Amino acid sequence: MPTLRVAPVEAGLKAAIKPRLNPFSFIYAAAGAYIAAFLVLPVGRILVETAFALAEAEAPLEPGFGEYVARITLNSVFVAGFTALVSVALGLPLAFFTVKVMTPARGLFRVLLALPLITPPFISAFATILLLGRTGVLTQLLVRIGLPEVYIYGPAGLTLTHVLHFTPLAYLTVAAGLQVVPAAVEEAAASLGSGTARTLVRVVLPYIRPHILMAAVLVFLASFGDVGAPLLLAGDFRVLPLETYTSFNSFQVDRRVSLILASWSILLAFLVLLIMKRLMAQTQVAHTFTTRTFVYRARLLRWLGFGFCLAATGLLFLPYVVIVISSFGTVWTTGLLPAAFTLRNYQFILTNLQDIKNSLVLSTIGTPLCVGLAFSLGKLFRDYGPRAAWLDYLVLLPFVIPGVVIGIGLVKGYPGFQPLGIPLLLPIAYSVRRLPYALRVATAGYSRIDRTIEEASLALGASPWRTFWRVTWPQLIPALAATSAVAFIRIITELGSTLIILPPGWRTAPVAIFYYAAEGFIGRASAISVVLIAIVALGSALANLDYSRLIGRLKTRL
Amino acid sequence: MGLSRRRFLQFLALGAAGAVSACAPAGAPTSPATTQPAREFSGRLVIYSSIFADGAEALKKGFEQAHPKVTVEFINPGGTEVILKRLDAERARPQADLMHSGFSLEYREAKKLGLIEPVDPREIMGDLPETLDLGGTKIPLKDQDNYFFVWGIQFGGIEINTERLKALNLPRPESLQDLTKPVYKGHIIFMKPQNSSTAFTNVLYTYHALGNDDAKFKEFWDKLNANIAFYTEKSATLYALVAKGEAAIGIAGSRAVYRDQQEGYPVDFIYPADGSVVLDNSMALVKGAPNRELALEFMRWHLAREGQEAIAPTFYTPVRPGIKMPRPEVTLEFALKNIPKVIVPDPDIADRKRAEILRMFDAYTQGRSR
Repeated sequence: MPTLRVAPVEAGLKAAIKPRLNPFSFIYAAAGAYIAAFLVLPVGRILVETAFALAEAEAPLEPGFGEYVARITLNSVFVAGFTALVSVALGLPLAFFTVKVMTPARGLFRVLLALPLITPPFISAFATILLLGRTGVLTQLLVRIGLPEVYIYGPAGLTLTHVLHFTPLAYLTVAAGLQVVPAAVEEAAASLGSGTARTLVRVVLPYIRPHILMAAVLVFLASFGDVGAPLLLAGDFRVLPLETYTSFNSFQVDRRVSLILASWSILLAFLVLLIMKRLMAQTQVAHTFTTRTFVYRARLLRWLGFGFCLAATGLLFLPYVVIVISSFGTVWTTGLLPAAFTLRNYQFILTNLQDIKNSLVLSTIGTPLCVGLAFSLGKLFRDYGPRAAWLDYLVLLPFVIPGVVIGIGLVKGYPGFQPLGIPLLLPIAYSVRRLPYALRVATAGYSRIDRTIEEASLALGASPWRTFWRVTWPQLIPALAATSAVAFIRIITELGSTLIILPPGWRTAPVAIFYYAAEGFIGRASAISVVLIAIVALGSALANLDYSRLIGRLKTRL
Repeated sequence: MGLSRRRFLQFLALGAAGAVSACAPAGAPTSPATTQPAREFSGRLVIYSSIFADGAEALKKGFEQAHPKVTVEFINPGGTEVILKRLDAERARPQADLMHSGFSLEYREAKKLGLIEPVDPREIMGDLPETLDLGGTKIPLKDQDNYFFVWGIQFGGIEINTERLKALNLPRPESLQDLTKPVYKGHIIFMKPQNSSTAFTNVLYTYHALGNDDAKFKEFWDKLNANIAFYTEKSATLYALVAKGEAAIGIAGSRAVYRDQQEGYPVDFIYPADGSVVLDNSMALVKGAPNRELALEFMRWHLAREGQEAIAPTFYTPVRPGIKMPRPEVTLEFALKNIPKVIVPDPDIADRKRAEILRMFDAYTQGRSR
């Protein structure tokens, strides 16, 4: 007959309420030191250098500099704000039709709608030129029916590119919100005689308001920090990340300009994150429980959903269609199709696989670093709650600071950092830069874990360490797969910091695409883009497999 | 007596080099480099270069064939300006062995900043003369203090997309002055001289073409700036956009235009009536280069017949005479016949005017930030 063991229960609970004493303290310290070394110091260095540069300056800044900074900031806010508005306006109905309505082929739409996120924004920018440039395919069709040319080099082209690229981000965030609306709420509304439209407006939308706002903020930030699309499409319309990037890259202009713009970006990042954190607090509440989803089955709604999803998916996919065509093309100038079709662009890739290999190697090193950090910090935030909020706030900074700023900070802080000949600075930059994405998914994974099971384990005398590995970790496996997929996708497509750090012999696929596209090797750039998209799609499909079930099946067979 | 495979290949290479030298046009100087027994090099050579991908691939392939145990890594961080920035950031622990491409004016900056070091010209130039005679105009092929060396040249001028020009019913511009006419408003693109050495050299050339007159220069650029649709961040982007037909006209260098023409793009290059500037692609040894000897071997090879022949198919005009070119338009002879006036940038004026010119373009580009 089992006896009640009082002392171990007390010890376990003590350990639970004194997290500083558990073995995770070392992991937290290591994660903290990593963040301090590779995020706080590089960013802090830029702020300190700015202060010194301004203090030691003998000549004043150019007249009108303040006005210029204000203008490029407002330009960035305008594009990011408008992108957020349109993306949410598109993403909301898409999410509704694929989550709440029995739309035909909704599973397929869900997969397809996430695909644009796995490409770097500059590929979308390049596709925008192929579609709507002065000699673009759509432009030619518009001109043929008597409409004027669209001028894409400026806010219109930038916003369009960002909308096509970031709408999936809005869609996924809103869809996540719709999945946690308790069916009982909508059932109650329906039973009280509320129609579909009224239930949506009066019940569902208020319920997912934090997710809608979060979607808007995420799209805003992604658009605000992007440098790839403006490099190709900004024209005269200068935006803050582009100006920061080009001033950093320009050796012979006043060095204070790049420092001021970088510091200004960092300060703005803090401001935007303040808003973001408040919204996140609201969305986390919604994430803490899961429930059955109410589904609308009205025939008209189903086919309306199908039509809308088909049109929107077609629109979002148009850029990738032209990229695929271009990858098989020779010269593509003023015709509706390339002058001729060829396989030479793919033959080139087959004989020059180094860029893709480099991307895979660096992502394979960077992804575990990023995921390890995300889960360590996710647990820290869970254990320490509001006391660790400042750290949570800090690690979100790379979400908003342009990659090039982080790259410059790291190169200055750790020149030639290659322990054992391995160019670790790039994977480190990736892990820090993409941490906000991975951390959000890991945190969501932690939030779904039932604390009572962990408490039971501790009460039965298991140490916090044992409890984590035997109770918590198995429940985190799905989140691990999702976090790895998100980290891998974001890392393998990273451009900004790579352009700055790029160690000899380690040119990545995104950098190759960027240079080939910029130098006019359009077919070659397109072919590498197609291969990169295929790799990322395959990677994310593998990561999304249900490994728990797969292992279970294998065990059964064995 | 049996020969090892490597030894056999070395003999073969020497034989081939000898045959190439023998086939060179009469009067063409023979590079002593081709007749010297090749020293065996190994390791990795890191070159920071703003050269286009096709040029980098040709040089890498050629040098690695000449030295099978060597790996060449071309890194283009985004233009010559960025290379300067990166070399400066890595000053304490240089990662690159060579600075490559971009024009001599930028190398003067690198020299002033102590980022590159001098090289004994006897080690790398062989029988290459110190200047190139372009119809009476002398183009220096090396820095007077031996800090940098010119390996190829091209010319500044006007790129047009012939189809786009026709579609817009625009006349073919014949000079840079033509581009200030209101008819071209919104149809011209140019690169930012703050980021592009091609752009800066082109701007300086207009200063020379206008008799080094400050007032005329400012008036000219005020008018031209008003006609420019936008400034690109990189020179490469300008070529890509004009080739695609996104802009009808670009102010550019000749090499990429002829390459795009060869690819099938409807572009053409115009040597302006007011003169064409010499764009002298250079190279220099990075100060404290990790692989100094290998870098010197690359410089020697690049200036010798083999290296010049390796780069010629990509339309960079070699400085060594007698190299067979893929098209007549990229030969020095063609340029001499077609260029109304050759202008060589004055480095002293460049040094004196640089800050002022960049400030002027800061005002143009920042002022355009709608």
